[in-house]
Amino acid sequence: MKSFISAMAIAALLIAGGIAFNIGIGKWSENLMEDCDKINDAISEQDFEAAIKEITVLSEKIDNRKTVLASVINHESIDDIEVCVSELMGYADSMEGIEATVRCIRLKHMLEHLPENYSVTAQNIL
Amino acid sequence: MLILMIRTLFLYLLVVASMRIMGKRQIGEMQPSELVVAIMISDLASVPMQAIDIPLLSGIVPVLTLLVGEVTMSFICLKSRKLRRYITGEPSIVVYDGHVNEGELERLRFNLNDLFEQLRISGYPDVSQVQVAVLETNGQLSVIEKKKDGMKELPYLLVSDGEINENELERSGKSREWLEKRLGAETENIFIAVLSDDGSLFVQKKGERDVK
Repeated sequence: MKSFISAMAIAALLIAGGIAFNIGIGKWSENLMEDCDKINDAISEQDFEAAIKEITVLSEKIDNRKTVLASVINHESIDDIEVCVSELMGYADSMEGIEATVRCIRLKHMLEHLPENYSVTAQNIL
Repeated sequence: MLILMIRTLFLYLLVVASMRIMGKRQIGEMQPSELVVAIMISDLASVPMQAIDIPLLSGIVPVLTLLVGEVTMSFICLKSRKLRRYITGEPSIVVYDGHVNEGELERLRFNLNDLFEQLRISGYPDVSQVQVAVLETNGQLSVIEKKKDGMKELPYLLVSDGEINENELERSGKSREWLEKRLGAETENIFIAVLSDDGSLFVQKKGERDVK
């Protein structure tokens, strides 16, 4: 009976943790996508100083959650996001608008895709 | 290197703890579902051990999920005899009174070579000396020898966890009325009732204090 109760407690923890993670990553991803939109707007207005500020804020947000993300998400995905942010920063710094826009769109797509990879859908299960 | 060591140790401790929670049966002879779970757990735990770019939770969560599944299934098998039959199967009598049950062997896809191999390993090369040979759900063959002065019957498990086992009752040649009269109590309160070869009936009621 003790084993069964322990197993049920573990099951409850796993389900609660899974739901909390899905909600959390969805919100985090949404927040960062909004930042990407701000960066894109700044780049399209040729305001690269503002774009660099926003990219710095975005980078800090990613750094703050890195440990938690690394415990659940494939490290390669996190590395890809970080590389994309670095490239975006580089292009914004050198005021290359088109390249920066492309990187921003790519980053937004990766962030959008992140919660989709972990949502409970038939596509992910199969 | 150190990362690999730490991850390996962590997952090793997790697997050991999981096997302990699943119970002592895991360490001894296993049922088919238990064997599957043990193999899967070891396989799942080994993946994040070797690949440091895979999060540790990718190993922990599946192992814990299997643990939950296995314990739940064991609990269901404990409570429901019907489901137990489907999940773990039932033992099959393959030899009775020296006679090999062909139909049963065919149903189990257990050929004669396998049967005689198991009989020899059990120390009974002569099938005519075998009273009962039971193929258990874990694949082992249990053999009961004929007594020199007569037949030795397999005990009949007439009541199991409050329910009358109709097959065993039929095999024993006793009636339901006889059993209820002998028990002298509602069968729902009986944990086990075993009828032996010599006609004695061993009864244990539910809730009796366990012997330590």
